[in-house]
Amino acid sequence: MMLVSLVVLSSLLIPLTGNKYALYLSTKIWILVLYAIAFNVLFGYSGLLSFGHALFFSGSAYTLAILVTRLNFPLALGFVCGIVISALFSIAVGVLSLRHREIHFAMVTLAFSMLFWGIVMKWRDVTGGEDGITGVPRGLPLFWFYYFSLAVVVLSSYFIYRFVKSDLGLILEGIRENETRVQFSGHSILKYRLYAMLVSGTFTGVSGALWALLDRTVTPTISHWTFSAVPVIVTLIGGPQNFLGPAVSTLIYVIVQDIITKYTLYWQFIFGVAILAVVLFFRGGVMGIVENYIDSLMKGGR
Amino acid sequence: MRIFETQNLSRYFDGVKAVDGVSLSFESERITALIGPNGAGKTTFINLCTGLLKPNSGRIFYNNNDITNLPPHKRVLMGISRTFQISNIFPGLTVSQNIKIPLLSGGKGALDELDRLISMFGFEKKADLLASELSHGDQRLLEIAMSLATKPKILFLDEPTAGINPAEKHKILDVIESLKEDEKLTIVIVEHDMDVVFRIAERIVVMNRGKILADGSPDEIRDDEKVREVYLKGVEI
Repeated sequence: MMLVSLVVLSSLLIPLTGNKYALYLSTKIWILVLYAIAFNVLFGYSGLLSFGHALFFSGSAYTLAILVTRLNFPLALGFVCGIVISALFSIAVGVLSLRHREIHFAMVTLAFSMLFWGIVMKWRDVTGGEDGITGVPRGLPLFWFYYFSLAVVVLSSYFIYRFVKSDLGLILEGIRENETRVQFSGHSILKYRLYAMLVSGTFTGVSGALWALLDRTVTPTISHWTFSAVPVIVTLIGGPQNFLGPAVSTLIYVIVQDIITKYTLYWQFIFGVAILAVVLFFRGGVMGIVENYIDSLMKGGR
Repeated sequence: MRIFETQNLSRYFDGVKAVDGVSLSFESERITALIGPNGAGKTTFINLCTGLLKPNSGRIFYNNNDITNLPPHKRVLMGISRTFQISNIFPGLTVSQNIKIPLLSGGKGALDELDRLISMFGFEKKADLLASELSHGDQRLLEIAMSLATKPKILFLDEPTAGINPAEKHKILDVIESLKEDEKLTIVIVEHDMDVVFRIAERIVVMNRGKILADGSPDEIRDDEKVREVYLKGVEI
């Protein structure tokens, strides 16, 4: 907890450096941190691998962009509407997918996100097709937008933290551990999974709306399935069983990607190797390694 | 008072009649033992009663309500609870979390029961251990505690003492007997151990090949020729 406050406090200083690129990149990291933490509500805490979170991310980003640029909605209203749309999407997808398990669930979520990607690509009049939508206002200078994003991400993450540590979160962990016993504890599996889906999808929508404002454009990239893979990858690297695992590895992911792309276009290759190493040798991910290290330090100290 | 009843209940697996037209009823606050050779259909019968399986035909009534098509969690909320043949707990959660999850289905105030259940089963010092760290016997006890947390009126126990050492077995039997007295529970227990059966059962139902072979008091079952033939042959009772 102290470490988290330290990181958040020190990141308050980033805008003061005056480096615009660093500021942009840090904002992006915060947004992706929320994306990963929201995704992990389903994956780490409920045992459901969604391969379609780009739907909730881009659903909100596109809604915001369309409402604000085409229909002249006020920015704040567009922001809220984007998130509401993600919440509705998550309920709809949840109702239709949550009866399935494991790979089937992943495939159904993937199918819905690909459907949305198809619409985004083809419905040019509204979505701009491959070109996307440009000219989304940010409403704030980047300097202040950074603080806005930071506040939204920290508050959202805190809410998610409270959610997964609540009684409801305990039941979700129970479902992950032993579905049958949860049923025989008098709980409807479907109902609790739907709650998880709603929280996960809605906060993914929050990150998507922030993204649209940061980039001031939305393109089909964020609705493509490869964008659904981003939180899957960072969560696997960071460790799904740790609340901050996905956050820590998002930081690593964005920075390493930024550095590698300076030298080679094949950054995915490097990441592929990293994922293999983590999945094969460090099941707990980066945070698992850190926890083990701290454990061994404590034992050594005795 | 009749609390639970099945009418002509049948369930087939690949043409095999696991449960074949079973009509049974259970009186409240009594302990009934369900016995029979392996494959007699005892566990399938319990799975049908508690909703883990759907019957191919027949009906199930609880307090005169037809519950044949209700999903398990709704039956639990009505007061039907169970344990499983193989310990069915949350191994990666703590003992108190294990008990808390079923308690949460009871709505506001249900959590007040947590401490009572923990001390009733002697888990005070083990409350923060992971369930996977408990001994096999304690895991079985934990599962009974979990099944009680939903405040059942009828409790189905599927071989609660299977694979347990004698000391722990007595502990479990004491708990089961106290449940009937203190919690006014109706208990249906599947059991292979005849010592257990004749110690706690007030009524014994013998199943064989999916059908009911005999149904009566322990004394009647002990003297039943048919039962001796298929099941108790060679077993000293």
